[in-house]
Amino acid sequence: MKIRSNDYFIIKTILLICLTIFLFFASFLIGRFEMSIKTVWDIILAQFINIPQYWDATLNTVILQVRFPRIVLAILVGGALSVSGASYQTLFKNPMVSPDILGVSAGAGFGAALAMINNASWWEVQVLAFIFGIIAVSAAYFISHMFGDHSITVLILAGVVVSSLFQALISIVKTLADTENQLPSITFWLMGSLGKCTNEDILVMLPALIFSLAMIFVFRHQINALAAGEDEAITMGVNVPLVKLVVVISSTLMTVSAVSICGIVGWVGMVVPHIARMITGANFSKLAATSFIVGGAFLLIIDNVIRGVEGAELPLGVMTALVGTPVFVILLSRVKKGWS
Amino acid sequence: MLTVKGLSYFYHPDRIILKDISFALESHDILCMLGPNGTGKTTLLRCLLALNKMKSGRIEIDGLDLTRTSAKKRAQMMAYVPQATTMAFPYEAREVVLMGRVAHLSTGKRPTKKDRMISDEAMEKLGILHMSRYLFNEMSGGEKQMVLVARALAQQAQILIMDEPTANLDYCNQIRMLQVIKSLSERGYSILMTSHFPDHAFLACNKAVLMRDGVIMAQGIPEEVVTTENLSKLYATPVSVTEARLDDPDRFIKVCVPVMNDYKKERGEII
Repeated sequence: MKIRSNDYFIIKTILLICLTIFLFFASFLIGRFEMSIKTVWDIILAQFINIPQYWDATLNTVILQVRFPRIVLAILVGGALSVSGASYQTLFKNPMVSPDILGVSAGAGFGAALAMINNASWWEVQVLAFIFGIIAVSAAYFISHMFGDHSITVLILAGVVVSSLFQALISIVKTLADTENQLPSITFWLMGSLGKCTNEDILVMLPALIFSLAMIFVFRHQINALAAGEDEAITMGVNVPLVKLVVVISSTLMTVSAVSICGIVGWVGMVVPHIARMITGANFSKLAATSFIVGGAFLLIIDNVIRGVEGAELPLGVMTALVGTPVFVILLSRVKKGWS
Repeated sequence: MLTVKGLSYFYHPDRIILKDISFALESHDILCMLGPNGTGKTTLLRCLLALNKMKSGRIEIDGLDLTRTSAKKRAQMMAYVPQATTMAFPYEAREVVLMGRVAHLSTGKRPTKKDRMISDEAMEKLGILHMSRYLFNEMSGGEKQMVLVARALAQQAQILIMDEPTANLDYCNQIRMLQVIKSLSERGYSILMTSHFPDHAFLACNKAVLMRDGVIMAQGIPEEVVTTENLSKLYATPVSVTEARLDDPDRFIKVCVPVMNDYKKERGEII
């Protein structure tokens, strides 16, 4: 019997979680310092139980301060971007939508660039990126409400407009930046990297992520009905303005907290929901969960490749595009019937 | 059940789209709304469904003012069957039908076994249960239309608003759809449908409303309202309402035929 994409959701989810857990531990082995699985295991375990330290103290730092936050954040960022992409795709009834459709990335990019030409600290860069990401989406939302007929198409249009505006502003900041330090750091930020993340970043990201995921979980069936279109959802009794606001707020929070930590990472939010749909079907109540797990594993694998390559650290956003585009083309050829 | 009184609607005050529309829909009624393109039929449906906000008038269901009810409450009383389009994503037919249950779902809750049973029953009634696992986008126009009717039934509302349920369907599927509509009305549903086929008023409906330029030109039982004179005026083109004899010599049905101008001159009747 043919296994359809909607069958065996729980088994598939458990398998995907197992795969991600395996990847999580395997990822500790990648990097310049070579160590055995047992050492990694013992270092992690030593945090909870008493194990006599037989390893070099630097390995403690490497595992707990460098690799641990990077691996955890790869999963959280990948998951956050994917869920927010899946929500937007379902809300906007459009398979080509990505999390930055309402201008969040462009806004965050401008905030980060603005901080960088003022020689702000890394922490201030993150805060400014966060604030401007939210400003951009709020601007798009209010423009659509002030001048539009409240329809979802107008919201997308407003997002595109705001996005372009902030892209222009980024360019202005770039021309003002000094070419020694500021311009390269702006450029690298815009290409994305998990290289600078710390354990504190996890603590910053978690509340926003948990809040957003909870909101989306609560409204998952209402969001799902929006795949039939705004008008039909209203006639099915969905409070569309509320659900729209919930999706915009949670997707923005997730994306902006991800982007402010690791810069602009494209393609994940657009491609992963399609992979997830192939695994567990189009129904949003399942899609959201699958997107999170697949997105986490996807970004972790890509970041592992980056860490594994000796010599140069490739930008994350570039790698996701390099991997994402061919994957997308393959998906396009396989499931285009379902989109039409 | 559903009463509409003095409904009017416009985008700009100098161009009225709907003017003083009043009609009533009782249980077991099948009301067919006829009228040329761009006459405001769809806008009227959208006003009933609160997708457009009427400028004046009242819409009541069993005395309850519809403008004061929530979308959810409204959805439990009135379901909408749109014209079949494609979904953006590969949903299965049963998932589309199950969406109708969202009208009864409290926020945060998931559909229960009972919800699934109700959706399956809706598909069973329409004879499409065996297609429940087909991808919606891969179904034919007639099948898609049936899935959307099933979704409306799963919503368990007594009033069904159908936007041209027979559009883009072949004869077989048109008749199937009309039979489904008829059997639903026998089960107590009230159905309001728009159509571009006046014949369908005779085939299935017990009420006809003729609408032209945003006003109701005539309404009543189809035999009295759908006449040669009224239809010719309605469509601003000669239409002949006549009787056709079926194979069985004693059975006649009324049919409506548009007449090309030159033939009209020669015969004044259908050929």
